[in-house]
Amino acid sequence: MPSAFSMLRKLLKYKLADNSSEEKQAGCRGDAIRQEDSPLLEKRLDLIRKRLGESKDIVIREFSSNNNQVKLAILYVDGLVDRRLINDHIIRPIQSDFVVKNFSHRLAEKNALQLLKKHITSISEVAEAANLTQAIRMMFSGDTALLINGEEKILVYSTRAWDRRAVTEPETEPAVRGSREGFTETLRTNTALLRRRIRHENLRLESMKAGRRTGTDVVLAYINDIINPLTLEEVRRRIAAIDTDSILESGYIEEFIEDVPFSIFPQLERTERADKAAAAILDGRILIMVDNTPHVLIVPTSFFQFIQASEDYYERPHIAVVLRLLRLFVLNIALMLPAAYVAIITFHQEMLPTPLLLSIAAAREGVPFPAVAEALLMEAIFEVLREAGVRLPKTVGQAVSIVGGLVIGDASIRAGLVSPSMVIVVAVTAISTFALPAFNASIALRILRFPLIMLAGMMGLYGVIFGLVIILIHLAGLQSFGVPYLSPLAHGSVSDMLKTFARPFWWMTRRRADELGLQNMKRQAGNMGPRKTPFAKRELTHDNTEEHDAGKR
Amino acid sequence: MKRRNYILAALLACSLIFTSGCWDQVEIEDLAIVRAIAIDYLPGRRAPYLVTLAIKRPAAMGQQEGGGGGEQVVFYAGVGASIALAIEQAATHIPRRIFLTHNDLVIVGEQLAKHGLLPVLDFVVRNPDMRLSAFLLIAKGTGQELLHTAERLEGSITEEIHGLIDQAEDAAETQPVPIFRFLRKITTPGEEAYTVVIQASPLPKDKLPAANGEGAQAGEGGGNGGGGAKQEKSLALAGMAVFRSDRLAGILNHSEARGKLWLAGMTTRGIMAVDDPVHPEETVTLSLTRSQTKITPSVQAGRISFRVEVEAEGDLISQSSQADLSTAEMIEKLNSAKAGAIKVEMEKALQKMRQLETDVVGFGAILKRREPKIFREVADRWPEIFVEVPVEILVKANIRRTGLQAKPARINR
Amino acid sequence: MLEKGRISPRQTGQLLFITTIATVIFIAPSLIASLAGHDAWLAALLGPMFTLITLLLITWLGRKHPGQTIFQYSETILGKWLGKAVALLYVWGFLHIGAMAVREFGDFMTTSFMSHTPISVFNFSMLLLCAWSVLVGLEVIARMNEFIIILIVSFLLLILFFSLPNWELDYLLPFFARGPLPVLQAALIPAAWHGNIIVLAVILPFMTRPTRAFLAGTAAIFASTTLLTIGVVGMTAIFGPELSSSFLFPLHLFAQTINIGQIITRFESVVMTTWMAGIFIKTSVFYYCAALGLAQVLNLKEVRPVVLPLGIILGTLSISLFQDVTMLGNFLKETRPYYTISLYFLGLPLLLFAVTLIREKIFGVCFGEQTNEA
Repeated sequence: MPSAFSMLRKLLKYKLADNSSEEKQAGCRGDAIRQEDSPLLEKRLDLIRKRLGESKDIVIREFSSNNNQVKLAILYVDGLVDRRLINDHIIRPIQSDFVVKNFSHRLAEKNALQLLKKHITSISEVAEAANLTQAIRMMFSGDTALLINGEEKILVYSTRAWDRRAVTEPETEPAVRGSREGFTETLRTNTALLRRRIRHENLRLESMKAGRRTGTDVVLAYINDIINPLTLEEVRRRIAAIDTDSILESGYIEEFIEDVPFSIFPQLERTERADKAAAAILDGRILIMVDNTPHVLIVPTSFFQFIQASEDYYERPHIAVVLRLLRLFVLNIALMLPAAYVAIITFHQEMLPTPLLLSIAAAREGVPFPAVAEALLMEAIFEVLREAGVRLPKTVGQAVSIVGGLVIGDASIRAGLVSPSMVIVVAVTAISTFALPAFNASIALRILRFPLIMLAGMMGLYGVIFGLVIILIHLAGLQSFGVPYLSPLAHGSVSDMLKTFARPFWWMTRRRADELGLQNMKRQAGNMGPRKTPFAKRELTHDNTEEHDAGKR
Repeated sequence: MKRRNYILAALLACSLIFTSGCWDQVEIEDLAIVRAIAIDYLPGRRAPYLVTLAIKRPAAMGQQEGGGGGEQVVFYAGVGASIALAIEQAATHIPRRIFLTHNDLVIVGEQLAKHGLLPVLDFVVRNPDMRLSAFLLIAKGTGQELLHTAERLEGSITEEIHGLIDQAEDAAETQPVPIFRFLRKITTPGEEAYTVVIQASPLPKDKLPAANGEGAQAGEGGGNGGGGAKQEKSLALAGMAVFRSDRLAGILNHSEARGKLWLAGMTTRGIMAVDDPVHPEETVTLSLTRSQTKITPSVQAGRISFRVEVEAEGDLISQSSQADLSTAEMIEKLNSAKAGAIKVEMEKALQKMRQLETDVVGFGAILKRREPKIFREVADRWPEIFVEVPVEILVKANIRRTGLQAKPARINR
Repeated sequence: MLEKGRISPRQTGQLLFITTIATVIFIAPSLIASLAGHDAWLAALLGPMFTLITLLLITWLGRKHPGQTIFQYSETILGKWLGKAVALLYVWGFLHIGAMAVREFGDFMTTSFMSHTPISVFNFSMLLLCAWSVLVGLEVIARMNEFIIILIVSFLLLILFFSLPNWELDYLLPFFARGPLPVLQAALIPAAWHGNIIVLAVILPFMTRPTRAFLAGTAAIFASTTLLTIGVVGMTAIFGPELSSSFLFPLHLFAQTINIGQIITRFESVVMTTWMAGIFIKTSVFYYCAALGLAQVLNLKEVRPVVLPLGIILGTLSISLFQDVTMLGNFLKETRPYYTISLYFLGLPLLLFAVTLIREKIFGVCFGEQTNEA
């Protein structure tokens, strides 16, 4: 079987994209437009109407300046713009007589571009598009294009406004403590949420585009002097090499840039919460934000993302230890309980204490299926129930899943189809799957459970361990952007290992994680603990803006 | 192309697992869960081993105890030239697969114990299903009869015996021995093995002439026919069976057994009675809480002797006279009385052991540990030498507490 | 090169620890007890000390020939044909030891747990897993080991801890009663097992800091000796010396005696899990060494072509070499110590050492001296 490493090498053969991808993406049509384009307004507008068709929501408005010297036209997509801005700040200043009366230079077609840009129109963000293709693409993003007769370049104003979802608590990651702000579908809102949390000059937001027809904006967010530059380079390269029609969700990007897409285990972390994303950036990781989806990707990550939740960092560390160990335990249960149960009652009955053995034997009298078949059947039924509960509307869905579970379980016991102990096992497993904070973990577990049950039915506990070792071999070879998937437990320093399970008090966390290869390791000053220096004797930092020097790697 | 070959090969390999059967798979409801096994020896036959299996019926567990089809424990028996063969013969009658791993009781009949326990021990150790932590009990009479005794308090006879064993750890007059300890003692030179004796004895009220036939309650499973005065019996762990190599040498009764436990330093709790120092015809009952025994061998001029020092602690739990025993002088007298009683028990036990020529306490092993060279010389003849070796016994007893009352309140002053 | 992964000294130490403890604690105690009686624990304590010699030889040779495995520098020292012959001998040695390990495990499973399953199922399925991990590489094996070693050590300590109520230390007592000779004879058995440290000769060039090799090896030897001695002490204390020498799988029966409060009982499956995990790593390591050795002897560019054939050979060997369980036991007790120690663990390294010295001092040949730390 080809190793993860060789797969890695093959997938790493991405070409470096060059800057002129915009033109390349436009393809033949772009060249055609460029060839036919001319500075003359009439010809341009004809070209636009021919190319863009007769969509009613693309508005073309021709007008001229007050002194009748300059012929202009604006171009925008209705629904993506704030029309008041266009009316008040583009059209009115040009049409009003203020220009004629009070302006020193005479407005003419020759100097129109500079004068309009610098003195007349009053919109804060303005750019110059070199040609019509660029201008059209920007127009589809919600900008307004101002075409000037006789001028090759086009002024593009940022007038974006559309109906957007309010910033609410993300539903898949509710917060017990911590901010409830979740990302929305608008990229700008998301970056703003990030900026509000990290007010430092080194927070960089690098913008890229992906998808030929969707033109989706992708933003890489990172802190420049902390991250490992090799990782950033790798991420950039992989995203730039994506050549596809549509990028609708961050999941698309996730699949394109993963090291081993065949693996069940996700190699990128995903979140909707702004505070979790900010914490990740401060840890030295890189965020990939995709337009039109609230789910952002965090890179690199490890297996232990499955047992970590943000609340661990806000509440007291004592509860964090307990909860993390609990989650680890629950992870094991969710994966192995049905398989272990089947293995023990079919092959290793000597492992059970006698009273338990007798009750299970009594319960299974008269059940027609062997334990393996029973387990697979019940698991399948519960999966169906779960899927049904997701699709139904919220109010009905809960009731149906609960009632369905209870009724089906009870009825099947009465009918003698399954034994009560099996129903308990399956129910406990289902609950354990929900106890995990990460949804993509539960996918992996739900799928892996079935082969494990089958192996258990074939070879007992030996089969279960066989399956687990296969999973272990796979995990041990998996990598996420250069970081081994099982680190820090299988590779890192002892302090990192302890941090997976027990997060230290905040005044103890001096350094960042070792495994990422970061530049700046030092997080805070040394004597923040309560006992070392009493509060009365500490140095006060009134000015909190100087960052701590890079510690040694 | 290469990748496809790998996948094909992997699929072929996996199908191997599917196409062959699952050899060891057995559904839990197809198991005959054996909870106790009784092995007896019927001399003079070609198939002398009689094995009785007490199999638990999980389906009947929820029901009341009683006759008819709702029995909790079912018995099957088989005979054979060896234990394994006997079990095999019994298995031909059993509709499920025999499952020995939950078997915690091995009951050996008296006859087999006298004949020699080697076959039993060999069977238990070699068989991966039989656990070494199972208890070995010697039955007075045959094991089969014992198993057929009706249960009184628990749901089934096997649970009753289990309960007795659990309680015996507190009583300390008898010591149920798990098989690995038995084996350990047997294989140690200079030490003999012992285990507890279990017997079914009639209830006290049945011994009185008046009560007759009222004990004939329902249910002795196994259908012993005959009506009328069927005596109800109760089980008890009574006495200690001592062995010489693997054969039963004799049975120590209650006080002798306790004496042996004193010698070996294994008593935990118990009760003994001594004469009241003031009114000798009355008795004072003392309890035993802790004890420590030290045995020291000494060799002088080629002559071996042992010294046993015992320190025992206890409380006063009841007195039948009105004497005030709470003074220091009285306590001192009680102490020496207690020490005397203990010493008497130990000497009786020693005498019985010598009579049976078994060194159950392990004097030989102690000698081996301290003076290995000397032991090596006498090792083969140790049982005979043990009979003559002088043993000096020193007992020191202490009574610590007197319960909640210091001295009895005087009546009718 | 054939192996691109690098493992840290800590991972090396852990790998070496597992390659020894995985089988020694399960099988050796009864073998040692049959020769040394109640002084078995002394034999277990002293025996592995001799393997320090092997360790010294290997680290010395490793320093003299940095970046080369034993297969490669035996060619350098002894010349092409003789060197390849020695390397092939080692490949066979690794195969042999690996086959023994797999067979021990298969015997255990079929005897104690699943007696109706043919032994080839266990052997070949285990080898399948090992083949896969060999293909993935040394670094992955080391990473898995870091995970697994925690499990194994804690389970073993748990079993030993829970059996404490049954211990009677008096059984160890007559100290040295039979004199030193039986102890020394018995000490050869754990020494033979600990000689597995020879795999360091193959792993050394892949360490991130080869100068720490001696430390890693010593730590592994000490740790495994300690654990083995505790195990032997426990076994003697529970069963007595005579009884324990009759058992085939003492640790399994050891686990059967644990019975605390009716709840903490029936631990035999813990033993099975521990042993399975340990054998997996140990066999992977030996399999890996054999595969790497063969690939280097044949001057191949990749290990992959030899892995599957070697796996089949290993599997067949494990079944056909020993006809029955007693043959394996006797082999382990009587023949193996002399065979492995004289040939692989002491004899050949000494030969390589001597020839290196001779060629250096007398003929003035200069082998790659140790450069600075990697």
